[in-house]
Amino acid sequence: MFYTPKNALFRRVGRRKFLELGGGAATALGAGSIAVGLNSVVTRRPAYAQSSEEAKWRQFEGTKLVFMSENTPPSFAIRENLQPFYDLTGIEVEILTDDLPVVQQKVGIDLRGGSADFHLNYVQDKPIGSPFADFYVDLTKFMADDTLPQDPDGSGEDAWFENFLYACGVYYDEGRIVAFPYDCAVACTFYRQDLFEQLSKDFEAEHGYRMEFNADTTWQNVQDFAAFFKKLREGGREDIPYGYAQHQGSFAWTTQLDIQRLLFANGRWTDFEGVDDKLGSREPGPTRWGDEQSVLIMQKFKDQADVSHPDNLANATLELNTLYQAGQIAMQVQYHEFAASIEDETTSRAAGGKTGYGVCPLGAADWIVNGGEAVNGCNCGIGGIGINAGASEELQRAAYLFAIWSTSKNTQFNVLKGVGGTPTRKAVLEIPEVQAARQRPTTMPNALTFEPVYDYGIRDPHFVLGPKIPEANEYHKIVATEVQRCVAGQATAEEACEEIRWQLDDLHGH
Amino acid sequence: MAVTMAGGGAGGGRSIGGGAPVTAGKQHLLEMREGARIISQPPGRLNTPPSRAYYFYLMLPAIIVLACITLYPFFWLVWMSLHDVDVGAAADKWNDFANWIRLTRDRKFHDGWWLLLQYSAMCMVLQIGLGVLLAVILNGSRLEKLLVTIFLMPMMMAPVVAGLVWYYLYNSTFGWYHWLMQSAGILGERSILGDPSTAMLGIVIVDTWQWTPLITLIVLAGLKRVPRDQLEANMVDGAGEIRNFFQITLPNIYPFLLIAILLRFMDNFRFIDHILVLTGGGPADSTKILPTYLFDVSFQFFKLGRGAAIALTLLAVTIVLGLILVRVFQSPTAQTRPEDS
Amino acid sequence: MASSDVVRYRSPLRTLVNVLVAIFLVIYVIWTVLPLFVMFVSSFKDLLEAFKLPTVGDWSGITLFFDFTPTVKHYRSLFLDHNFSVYLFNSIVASAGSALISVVLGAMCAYSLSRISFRGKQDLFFWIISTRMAPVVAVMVPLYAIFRGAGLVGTIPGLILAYTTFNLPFAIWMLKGFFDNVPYAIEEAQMCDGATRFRAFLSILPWWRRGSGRSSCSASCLPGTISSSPRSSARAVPRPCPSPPRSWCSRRTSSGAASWRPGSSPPCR
Repeated sequence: MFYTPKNALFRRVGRRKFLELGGGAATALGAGSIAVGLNSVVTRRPAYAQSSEEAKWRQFEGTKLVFMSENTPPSFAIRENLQPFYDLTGIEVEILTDDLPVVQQKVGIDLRGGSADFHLNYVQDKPIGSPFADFYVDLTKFMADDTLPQDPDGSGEDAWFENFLYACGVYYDEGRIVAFPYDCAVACTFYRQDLFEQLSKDFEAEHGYRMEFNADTTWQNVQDFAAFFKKLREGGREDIPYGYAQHQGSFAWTTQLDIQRLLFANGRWTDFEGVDDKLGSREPGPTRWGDEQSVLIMQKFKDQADVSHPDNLANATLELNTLYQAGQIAMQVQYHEFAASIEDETTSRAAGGKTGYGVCPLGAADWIVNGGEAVNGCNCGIGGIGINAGASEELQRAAYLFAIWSTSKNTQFNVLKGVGGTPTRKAVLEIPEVQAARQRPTTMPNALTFEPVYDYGIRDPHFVLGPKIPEANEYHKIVATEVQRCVAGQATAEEACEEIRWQLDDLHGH
Repeated sequence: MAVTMAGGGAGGGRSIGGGAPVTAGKQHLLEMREGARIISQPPGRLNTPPSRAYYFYLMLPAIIVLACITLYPFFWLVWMSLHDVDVGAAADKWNDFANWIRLTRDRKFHDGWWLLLQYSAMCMVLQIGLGVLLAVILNGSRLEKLLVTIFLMPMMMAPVVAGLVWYYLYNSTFGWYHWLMQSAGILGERSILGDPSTAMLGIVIVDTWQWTPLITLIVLAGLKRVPRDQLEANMVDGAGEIRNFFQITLPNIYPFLLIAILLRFMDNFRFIDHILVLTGGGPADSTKILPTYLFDVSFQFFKLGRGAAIALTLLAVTIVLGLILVRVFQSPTAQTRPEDS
Repeated sequence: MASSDVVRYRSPLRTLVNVLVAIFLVIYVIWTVLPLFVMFVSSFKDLLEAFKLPTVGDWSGITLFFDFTPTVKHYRSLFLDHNFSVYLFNSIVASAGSALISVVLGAMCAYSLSRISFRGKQDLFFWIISTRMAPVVAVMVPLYAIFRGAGLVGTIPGLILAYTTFNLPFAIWMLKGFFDNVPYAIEEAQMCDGATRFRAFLSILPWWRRGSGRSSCSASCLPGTISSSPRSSARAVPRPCPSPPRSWCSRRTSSGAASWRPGSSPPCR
């Protein structure tokens, strides 16, 4: 989702990160760096409802398309392996990849400018989908078009994992689908099973229960674990890592997702009253921030951070994962696509069966003051593939071919096998090879996370999407900043929540 | 020779470009005539002292290029700051100065200015102090050339790259500088960029590393001009080296220093590459100086109207600062040359 | 040149100062070079080796930094897998193109500004400098729109134009200082010898190479891109000027030196 998680590329994390960041800043600052080679050609050979499947696929032979994507495994894998698509359709696709904030800028300028340099966009649910939903083509018209080929497994809601199509494809209006789920990053807990087993006895002597991680592990337990690790470490056990860490670094969205999980787990708290998270709202109304529940959770979040790795404020997704790989933390909340990098023996000290994958922690009964339910609050970033409405009708239709091809079962399976992808289609999980890979030893490390992720986390009532609002990016920044201030001790929980409330309400004119 | 060359070229171009369709023969005739006319001009004309118009023509291309790429965006900015230029497909509409009114209560905007001020002040003090010290030490030393070349190396880098280098050094998991500082007991486990109280310092250090040499270079140029006779006369009067520095050297290099300050001030307002790379404005907005906030508003939140308003305030202040500095140059304290045109 | 060779006397204090200065210089050199050195060495390390750190406080662990098997695979992948040479070539073309345009247009403009005076000249000159003050982020959106309209997005000419935006004002500013220092008499003499006024203008350009404008300022064109001045800044160390400008220089220096103001000549000498 955010950065590159696949093994092959992860090995170059340092340089990669540098290059990505360099790209980002250069784009932002040197006007010239917006430059990309863009050109599109469209040719059309009409196809009809009764035409053969092959004729439907080949009707845009000779067309050239540009797909602007985030640096995610599917995009890398597909870019390396576009030949089958070319052989099938005769369409040339240029895939450009970049860091999410950069993709956001480029896509934003392209869409706002009413032009279509990028015919296909990576529609990351909140950062890109929420603000720019209006600029994408409604795919339902193509789905019902029998002059276009369709996916044999279908593209309706049932073809994808629960909630996925809604998460990345439906914004504000029912019945309008702007993107198909292309890849996903779902939060789960990575923990060092070896350390847990080694220290469980000592922990039990102190706390009266075993140090294990399962679906009933609450946030209170996690805090106890972390405190226990920290105490050992501060007692001079240099070999013991810190217990826990979350993302609180420079990437606002992941920070917001972290506190949102906690908020939702404890009483299914959401930001705006009466707004269906899965649909989102253009005018969400006054926020709930600042109420008793949010203040309590903010406080708990700070307590948690206090017993976690001390350099949390510097760590975004990739840095946090590096920390875990380096063996400096025993537990991290992380997106499931990172499993591939954790299981890579050449870069990770947590590889080789040392890591267990669990769901997100359960809400703790005494942390709930709003009378809600305790769930394993779990959130995600679903990256969709959408078609720029600024492109011509012909180009849109050609782009649709790529959209369904790149999200098809076979493509997703190949990516999963190759670099550790993150399937979005139910059908992929039914492939026997994938079934087998869910147990160690495995050739597809990401499959180790499928149980906590696809079988549990993304299903209701655990699944939380977060507010889909046009101002999503500003919202992320506001929440993340105040969370950071609270964690750093610059503001109390009340002050932080109140500041969030003030800024959000100001943003929405309340 | 030069006469025919210039005349033929210009004349031919004009006749073909301007005229209505003409036959090949006529065209040829036209060219001949034009060429002839130019040659028939009094031979002295092109080497008589140039007229004012000649100078204006020479000036024109640069002015036009600059106007296109600066004036037009400027008016665009003004227009955007007065309209709702927002995400979403809605048309941009006049919003009764809402963008400007919002700035008055935008806390991040106020913090941004305050942080920018702190950041610039810290950078200035460190860089001017170090830069002048280095220049004074280096001036006339045997190793001057070698050392200046070495010191210039950071400046050769793009700011983005400098940011990335330091990102690598500062990182708490694998950064050698972090290890050094931790081992020396300066830092705890929090890395310099991971703590809101030190992140700004981390940024300032990077900026200082990269840009102190610029100050050194400019001041060195100034030091070359400090008149030796004045220095010697002052020494005869019993001044020590330190007094000499303050009484003679400093006043002499004063305009150079001002240039250095002007340049660095402007650059601090302009370049945020390394900040975006190192902290992105965080943690807890402790390094969110105004340009960084502007970047967020325009390119992360896509509130282009609001961003334009912020940009204009930034632009205004930069220009006022520039004006002040230029006025200082022209003030009587900076001695002027009487015979200057 | 100036203050350094003023007579100094040996004294214990002097020695102490010298030692301190030497220490300071050594520290400063290390401080400047170390980040580059670390990057350089790390570029030959494998990922896991590049991420190795000794335990905190273990000073002997510093040897760990050199404990690696050198590999050139990063360089190889840079050139073979990542089209690095293409990017490098693009950068060079863009920078060189922008430098060329900036210097040509800048020289013409600066020359004129230096040779005539008119009402509002100060304001014009300030406007030129002020275009360099605009925060880049601020003008990004309109610039993008202009570039789009002109079909320049994604092209090298677009890149050149973008760089020129930032380099041209500086080139004008710098070069004006140079022309201010070249007496009009030289052109006059040239024209008396039959040169056209344009040739006369060209004829004074070579003065520029001789260092009178070998200024510190040129270096500051650099941020991010390549200097708009044709000299490398590493060479931009001030040097004494050769004969004709020198007499002129010395006249100025002796007359009281600190004389730059925007309307006259900058201190780039």
